[in-house]
Amino acid sequence: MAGSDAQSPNPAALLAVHPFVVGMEEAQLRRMSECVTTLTHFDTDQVIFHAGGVARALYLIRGGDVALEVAAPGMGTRIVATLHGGDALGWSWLFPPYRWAFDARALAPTEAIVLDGEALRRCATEDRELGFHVVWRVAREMADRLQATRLQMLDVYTERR
Amino acid sequence: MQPRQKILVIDDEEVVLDSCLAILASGDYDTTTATSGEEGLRLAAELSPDLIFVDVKMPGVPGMEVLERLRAADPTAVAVVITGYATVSLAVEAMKRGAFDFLPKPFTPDEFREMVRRGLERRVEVLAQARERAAAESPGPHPGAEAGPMAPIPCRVLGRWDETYDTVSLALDPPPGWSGFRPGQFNMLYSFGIGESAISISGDPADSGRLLHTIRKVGRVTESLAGLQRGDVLGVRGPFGTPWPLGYSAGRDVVVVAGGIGLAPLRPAIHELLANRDRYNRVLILIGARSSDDLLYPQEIQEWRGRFDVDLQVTLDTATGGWRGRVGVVTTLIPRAEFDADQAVGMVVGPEIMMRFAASELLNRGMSPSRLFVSMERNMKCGIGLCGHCQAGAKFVCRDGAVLGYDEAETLFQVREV
Ligand SMILES: Cc1cc2nc3c(=O)[nH]c(=O)nc-3n(C[C@H](O)[C@H](O)[C@H](O)COP(=O)(O)OP(=O)(O)OC[C@H]3O[C@@H](n4cnc5c(N)ncnc54)[C@H](O)[C@@H]3O)c2cc1C
Ligand code: FES
Repeated sequence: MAGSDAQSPNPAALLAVHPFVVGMEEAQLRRMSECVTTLTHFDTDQVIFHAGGVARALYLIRGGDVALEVAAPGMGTRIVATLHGGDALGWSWLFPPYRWAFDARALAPTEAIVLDGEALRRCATEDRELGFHVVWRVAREMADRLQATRLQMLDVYTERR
Repeated sequence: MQPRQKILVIDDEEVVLDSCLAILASGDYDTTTATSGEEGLRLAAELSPDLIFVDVKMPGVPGMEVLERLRAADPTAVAVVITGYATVSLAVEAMKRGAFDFLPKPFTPDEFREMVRRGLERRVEVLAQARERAAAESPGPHPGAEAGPMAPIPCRVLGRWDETYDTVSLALDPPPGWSGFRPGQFNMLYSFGIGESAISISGDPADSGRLLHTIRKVGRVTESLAGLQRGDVLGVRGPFGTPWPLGYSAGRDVVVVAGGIGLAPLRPAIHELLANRDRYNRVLILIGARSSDDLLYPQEIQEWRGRFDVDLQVTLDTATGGWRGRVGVVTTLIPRAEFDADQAVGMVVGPEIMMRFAASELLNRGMSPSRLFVSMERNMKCGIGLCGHCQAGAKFVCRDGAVLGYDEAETLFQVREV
């Protein structure tokens, strides 16, 4: 579900200053910006995507807060993690079967640069160097998230030595 | 001849003021009354009363704010709040804000006289402590600590309240001769007949009137300490241990990272940082808790967050859909936190695993291990470097810590307790 689209400023220009692309070369950045579809705004509590839905996009959050959550019957909704300005939201567009694993909901007015997942995959296959940069960045996000999740699972606050 | 002790009563109800005046007329006091918070604050500044009664419910400046402003203007002020029956929770809040005690309305003349007696006694003690502290060159560790004060000093519980479902705070009447503490220090608290535990001092170092401890119930001693009620007596030894390097941190960015109960030993440092805010460069406070039910001091966190000169972030390990803040472990706050790693000082407390990961994130950012400090917990017995119970490597945590530089602590984290 998309929010309201803004006419300006130019989303490709905004891409160049997002932390996700730090260290990329000019040519790769240009190629990547061809995959940018829009700059999108989400209102508080607006759903960005639903678990199980087709994962079509990478969202580079410019500002705002996003909750990744699961709704479990009888348990209500649990927030698994929150993402914020500078974070990249979603990697399910990169791997088959291209389905979201969690719900994503804006916790505050949020702005994101939206990149088309399929176009990104195509660019990444055609331009291996760009492919490496994109996959490396997604892998780094995943590694950070994995480490945080492990700590979360350790439930360190209840553990006593 | 002793000067007459001065009492100020602030209440918007004239009948309450009249009856207070009538009750005290037979005593040897100078009693003044005020019908509003504004007038009360003005009179307090003028008269420096020995004891102040404040009604919590007043039009204009509310009683709670009067109390806070009184205590800010003069930390030795002894104030008792007067509450209606329906506002006992407010009274507890007032104790947290430094009230000495509370008096529910309606009260009998005897109840009032007894409160006056206790309040004035308290005032004498507070002034004596303030004089001693002023006489001491620095508010450093208790000189008696090295001399081996193995006997706990009986202290009265002035107030007790729940912080969370498993954590309680106690406000204690400081032991006679108590000359203050430095943020990061701990006391050995003795529950008579049960046993002793090391518990950090968690209050404001500028508040000399009472000694705050926040205790998480994990076993026999902590359960028993947490079960104490107002008026009960426990044993106190201390203060022990090394302080946070606040002097060294002057002019630098300070990054405080607290996980769970770890906020308790850091709170005095936060008070000090905020009270002398211009001494430090950026101040960052990163707080992690398991869930919103586990978050300590939510009201104070709200106040700190409201300051424009502090970057405060709270994150929960797990949250339900209604939570509007961050979710994720506290270490996830570090990579994007805005501080200058080349000069910043880190102060980290929490469960050992959390401290290790937080430290590694801070080091990743380029912070030098020599400017990173943690507080180590080890089971303690003597607290003064005699028994060896707390030994970790070549260190006795009670004497060489609990606040240690990370360059030392890192190796100790791996060392199991003896
Ligand atoms: C310098 C220092 C400052 C401390 N500050 C505080 C504080 O401000 N608030 C607070 O609630 N607690 C604090 N503690 C921890 C507190 O001392 C212990 O939780 C307490 O001694 C446990 O005693 P108990 O009889 O209740 O539990 P026990 O029955 O002794 O133990 C219950 C469980 O807790 C574990 N445990 C016992 N002692 C410790 C310890 N020191 N560290 C970690 N695990 C322990 C045991 O292994 C056991 O699993 C501090 C400890 C130190 C060394
Ligand atoms: S507790 Fe005895 S030496 Fe530290």
